Amino acid sequence: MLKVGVHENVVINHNKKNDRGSLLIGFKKLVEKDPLAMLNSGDASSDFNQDEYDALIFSPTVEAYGGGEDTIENILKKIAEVKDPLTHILLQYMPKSSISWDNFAGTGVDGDNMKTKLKDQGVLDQIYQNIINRYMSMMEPHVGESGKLFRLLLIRQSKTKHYPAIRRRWLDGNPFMESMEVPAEASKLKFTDYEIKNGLNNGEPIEGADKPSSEEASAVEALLNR
Amino acid sequence: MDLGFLDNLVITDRRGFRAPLDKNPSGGLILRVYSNGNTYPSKELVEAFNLEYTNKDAEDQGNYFDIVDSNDWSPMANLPRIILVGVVSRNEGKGDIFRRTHYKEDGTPQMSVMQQGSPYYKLKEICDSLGYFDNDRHYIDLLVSIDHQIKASDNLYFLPKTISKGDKKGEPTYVRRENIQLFPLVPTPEMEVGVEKEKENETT
Repeated sequence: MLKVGVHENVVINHNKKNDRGSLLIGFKKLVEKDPLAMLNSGDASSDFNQDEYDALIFSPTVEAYGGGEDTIENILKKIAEVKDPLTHILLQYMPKSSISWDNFAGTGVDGDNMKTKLKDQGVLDQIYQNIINRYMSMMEPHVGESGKLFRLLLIRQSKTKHYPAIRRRWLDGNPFMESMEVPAEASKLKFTDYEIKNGLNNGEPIEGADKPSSEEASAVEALLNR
Repeated sequence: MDLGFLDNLVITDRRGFRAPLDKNPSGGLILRVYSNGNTYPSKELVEAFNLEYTNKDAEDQGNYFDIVDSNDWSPMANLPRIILVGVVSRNEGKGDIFRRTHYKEDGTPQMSVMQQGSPYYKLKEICDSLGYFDNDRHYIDLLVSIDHQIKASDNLYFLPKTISKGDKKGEPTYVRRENIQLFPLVPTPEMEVGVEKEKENETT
């Protein structure tokens, strides 16, 4: 599995939904590997999937991070944290004018009822499906190993969870993907001061770490068993 | 007296490449770049690419130019070196030439882009390194070659830039452009004739 850090020559290999309807974005690093040499090597871990990573994009929730009902401001941020990274990915393949969203289709949400409607988990789930379905549709022509090559930055999921993740905020000045057309010395893919300070640039597991959710664990297991 | 020193002397009238009669070029989509970096567009260029400065509060601020050394741009780095010019809306940031002007109290531009003549050191440096200036040539007329537009299949361009401020000043970076026009910027035929004459004279 791709680890925390910067990786080159990456393609988006697939976009699909898991059995819970969550979006999995499959990043694959195109490297030449000799499987027989790996099996003859002195390494104790023959990881044939070390060049792949499935980014799991969760649906926004009404529940706040500490429990209870979240504020409308936070719920809007959670929706943005789904839509913004997907927009960031799309912008690697197409101009802004080619991207269109219809994230509130079928939800009945408008400017007047937003504050009540967005506290309905069913509405949030519909918004989430609208976003990922539209993303998958726009990305369909670009997926696969013959696609454009990118440089990809993966950060640590949290202080306690060492799995890699894609950045979800402040993407305009802090991208996580860029074309390989950009020379390495001009790359903008760097860990932010906040990420460095909070250890989000470190992919090593730590003692007493939080266990991954069942959905996260399933995604990792599926990747390793592919 | 030995007049042998006159045997190989060739008198060449180069006044035309030292100080043109007009600061602005004319007769095409031309940029005139002086050896001190001062740059003037032709009227045709300003009109063709909407380069004129507008009122301060205008929604459409017109266009300006990105300047790219093809040696620094990976899609063309292995091709013969040329200067590229990208036409970009002023509403986007980080253009290289004809960026800005000062405004009067009523919000109208203090000066036309035709007269401004600001120095653009990036363009000057590229012209210097291409050998466009010398003791006899104090300016160069560069034609925007619209017949050779360079197009990306996805309409995305990652153009090389240099960080201009802060502790990373001078380090390489890039700007993402989309749906822009990108053209070669080449010496006009008259400028090339001048260069050829000079080379002929050097060999006689």
